[in-house]
Amino acid sequence: MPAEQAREIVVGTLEYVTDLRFPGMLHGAVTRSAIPHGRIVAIDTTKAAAMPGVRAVLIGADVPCNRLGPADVDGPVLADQRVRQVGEAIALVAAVDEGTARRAAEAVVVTVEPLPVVADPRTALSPEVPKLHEGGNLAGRIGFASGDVEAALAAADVVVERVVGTGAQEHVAIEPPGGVALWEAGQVTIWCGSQNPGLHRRKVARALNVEIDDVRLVAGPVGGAFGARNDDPMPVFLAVLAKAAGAPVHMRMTREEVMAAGPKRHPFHTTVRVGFTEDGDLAASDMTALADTGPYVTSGPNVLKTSAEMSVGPYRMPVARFDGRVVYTNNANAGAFRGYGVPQVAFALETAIDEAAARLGMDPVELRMRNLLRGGDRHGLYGHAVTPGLRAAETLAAAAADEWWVSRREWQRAARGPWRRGTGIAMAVKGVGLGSGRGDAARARLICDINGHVRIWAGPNHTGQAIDVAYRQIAADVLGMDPARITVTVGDSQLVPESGATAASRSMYAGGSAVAAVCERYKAALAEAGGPARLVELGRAEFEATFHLPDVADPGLIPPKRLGDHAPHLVYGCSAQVVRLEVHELTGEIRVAGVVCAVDCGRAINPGAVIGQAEGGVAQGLGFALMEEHRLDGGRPLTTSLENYLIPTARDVPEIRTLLVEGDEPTGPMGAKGMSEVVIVPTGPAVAAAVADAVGVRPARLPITPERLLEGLR
Amino acid sequence: MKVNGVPVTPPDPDARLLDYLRDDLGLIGAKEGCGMGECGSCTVLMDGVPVCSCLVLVCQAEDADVTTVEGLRRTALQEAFVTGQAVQCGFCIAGMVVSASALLAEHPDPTDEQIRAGLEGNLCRCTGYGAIVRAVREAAR
Amino acid sequence: MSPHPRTAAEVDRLDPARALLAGGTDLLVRRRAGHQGGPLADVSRLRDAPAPVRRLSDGSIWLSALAPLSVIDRELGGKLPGLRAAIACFASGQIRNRATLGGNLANASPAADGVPPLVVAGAVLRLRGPAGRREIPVTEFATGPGRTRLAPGEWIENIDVPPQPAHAGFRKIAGRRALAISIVSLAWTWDRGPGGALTGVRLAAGAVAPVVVRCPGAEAALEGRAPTPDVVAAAVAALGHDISPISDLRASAGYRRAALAGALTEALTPALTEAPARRNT
Repeated sequence: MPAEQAREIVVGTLEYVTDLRFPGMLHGAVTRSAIPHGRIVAIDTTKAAAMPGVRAVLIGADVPCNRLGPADVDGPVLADQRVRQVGEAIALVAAVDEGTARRAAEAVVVTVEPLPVVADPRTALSPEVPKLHEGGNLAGRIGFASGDVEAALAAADVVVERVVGTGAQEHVAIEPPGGVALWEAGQVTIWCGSQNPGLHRRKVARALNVEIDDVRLVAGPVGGAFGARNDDPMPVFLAVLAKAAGAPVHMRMTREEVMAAGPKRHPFHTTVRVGFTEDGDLAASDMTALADTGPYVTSGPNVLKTSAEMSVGPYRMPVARFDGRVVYTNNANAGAFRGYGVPQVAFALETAIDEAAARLGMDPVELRMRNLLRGGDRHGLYGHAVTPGLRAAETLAAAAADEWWVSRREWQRAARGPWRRGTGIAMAVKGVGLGSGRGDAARARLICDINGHVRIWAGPNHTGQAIDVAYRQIAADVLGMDPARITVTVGDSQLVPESGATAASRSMYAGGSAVAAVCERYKAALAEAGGPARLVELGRAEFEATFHLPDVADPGLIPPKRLGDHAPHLVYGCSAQVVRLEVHELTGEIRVAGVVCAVDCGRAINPGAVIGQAEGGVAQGLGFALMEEHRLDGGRPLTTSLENYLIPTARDVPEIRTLLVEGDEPTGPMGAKGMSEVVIVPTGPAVAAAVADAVGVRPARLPITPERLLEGLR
Repeated sequence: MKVNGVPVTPPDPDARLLDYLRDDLGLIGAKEGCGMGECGSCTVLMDGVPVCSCLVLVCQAEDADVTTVEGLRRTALQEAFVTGQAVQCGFCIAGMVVSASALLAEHPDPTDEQIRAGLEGNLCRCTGYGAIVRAVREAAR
Repeated sequence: MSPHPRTAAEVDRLDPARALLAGGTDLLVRRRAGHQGGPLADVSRLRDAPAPVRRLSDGSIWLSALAPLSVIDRELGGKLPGLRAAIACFASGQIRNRATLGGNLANASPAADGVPPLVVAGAVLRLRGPAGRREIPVTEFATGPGRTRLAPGEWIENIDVPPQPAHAGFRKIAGRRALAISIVSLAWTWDRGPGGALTGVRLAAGAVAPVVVRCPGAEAALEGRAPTPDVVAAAVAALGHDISPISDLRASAGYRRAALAGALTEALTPALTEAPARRNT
């Protein structure tokens, strides 16, 4: 089923949040730091404020509570003591038009005394390096083992060690952040893209010292998200500026601002050692990861938690150790990004398994297959029992049965000239929801009218994935109704009960389950009352339901009181991918010829949308693997626009075959579970495997640029 | 200048065509994703060929026939984008539809390679382009 | 408000301080970045602009400096396959519908894709301005990144391309397959003599020196010889002395050397050079 707003979109009439215009509306702009690290000596706004057309100029001291989160390390709304990143916001300006606002923002004079820059995460914890926060440069650490890893590795027949790195990836949602805020009678409505309207409400209420109920966030329509709209300060900027200006304020970031100041995927330095018996059974894994969160904590420690859980992949690992640290630097702030810490560690683990397959003389599919987790097995690191809902083996088998994998040798032999051919395979799992012990829940509200028309308000909201359509399909299925007689609203914090983020692969599973639950309630009441008109007459036409994501039944090794820290998942989405590509042996260029994406999403409720998510995830994964890296030099961004930060075009993305693995997730709505994140994960290691198959060199660093590849060949 | 067949007289010849279309005429279909011709979200037809309206000044289009996504007749192409689920967040789609309409005018029965070449100037971050390519192919039938 | 001259003579009479705006695909981007903030004059709509492509009876071709690349490409038909190959991988369709050869030349980017094919073709630029008309070989036009021999108020009207050898091509190496600035580029023309010997060899490389450069050392290593593996190796070795690449965001100097060597090797591999000249990786 198509996206709800597709018909308006194809004729250009849908108003996105940055398209909105109000009478008397002002336009905002941001004064940003030009240097990576410094002490703010003075901020002089007099010249900016005196410019004709300027209606408000705000600095940190003007924000009632100048914090984006509960702690200092969450960062200020507007930097007032120190700047810690190029692009950090220092002042906000509202003016009669956008040009005036931008000129006034430039006219704010910020005197900064430069401080030494922390640019290398690998040395950020050294005592001689300046501390970016009072507590030092360690933003978080997760380190534990499920047994004696050293002994297990010493006893293993084959131990593969890989030292790898992955870059900072920019989301490049095509709509840059922006929107409008409007205050009326002490209450603010903010139209601004958000993957987490509840969180943004709390941020706005905290910053302005107002009640949460006085903040309404309308989180769409919005042009893409991918994680970037989780931590975005834009709703706060809009609200504080509109309040100060006493008029509605519109603001949008330029692409250049997004490149400098928007969040990025955490760059990782990762070392893994994986041990095998000579028969190819996994013996142990030991992973050390270092993540760079930039100047503020944002998602850093949570990302590491996901990294830890997925550091053993979908494999039976007798013992495992993970030691991850996330550090502060003056590089770009990192935040949530599709995959959330998993692509980085999967690249290390999957390429290590390929290396082991080569050393053991085994087929990479066979080696994986004999080690895959099956239902009832215990997770290698956390020790919790995995449910039968995981179909890792079926997913791998589906990918490996594709003709592009089966015929890879014939295809390779048909290579011509300098273009050498190779095929690779890789797989991954990614947990659905926030994990056990986190109290993760979603809610839905339903009202019927006398004619039986049903209105549903539910979250998580739509940022491109058409989750609202899936809610409608689930409701229609539970109620046995024509979907056309059901209306679904998402993304409006005034109307939708708090349901958490469009994140953690949880929207379908959590939001869909809440919708199913509220529909079941309505259905039962309907049967009892004898019809919708009667329910309305009785004043019983409104229903609410909450769905609590189930925890793992058998938590295994982890003491229950620590579950809150470790949060193992009951439900995993799974993907296995085959990449076939050509490598130019003289120039190092890579042309991807095709990708097979097998995905286990339980039952696909809206198969067209699932295929769209799979293809989009693979394309983003190809970008991560081959060309995307936000680069800085001494904390100063080098990739400053879409001219020098390249993402795949239609010419770079090949045909992608999506294979939906049949079977229901027993705990999911209509048998469904999340899949939109896991599909980005196997792409990088599958590309690396294909490169190794083509030219015999296994890349250790993503992206695999032509230059890096050619260096490897020489 | 004519915009979608209607004669117009822009007040500021030095404005970007994109801003004139959006701010003065209220034609919000063309979007700004980069402001430098790298994303194609602002694509419109100028005398029948796709251009990035962020890189055209109004004075340069003085004698031109400008067609925005709003001015394309409702076509099989747009229907194919909807039913083929080629629209996710949709922010790139107006530009995609405009580029695809020019492509189909030049190549009524395009190969997949021609379709991808015809859309090379339009970035999409949601779809991976697959559903979009299929929609254009479907519309060509 | 910017003036918009409608005839070439009006352009000649403009204040020489004005930057001339043709397709705008570079100028307006630089303006956005805060450069080139001065006054503009739009020259994209001259009534007496030269025809996009004129074929002369002596076999030479005149290209309009003001016509969009896509129009030049279409009107060239089977002519100048090297230039057409370069246009095919130039930015994107939208950009090719606006960008001009004149703009590409006048920007004087060492990575300009339109320039190497004109350099190997021995093109001559026909300039005009307040002081009248003059001609300058394209090889002498650019003097450094962003710098040319254009006098104040002077502009490029035509590009005169003499009759060409039988073989020509263009190869670009970039970070992706569309909408990308070249890491390196290579244009070539030659004839094939008896026994496969190459004659009239001309090579030009982009993004490996402050301006697009001819590669005389590599040309000499190839001239009169069939491209056997030894000859190719000698040409590649000589090529290294023809260029002076730098390291920047797109690539290191070392990679530029290696990639250009790869492009030349590929161009000289007969099975590949006999394939259609249009190539866009």
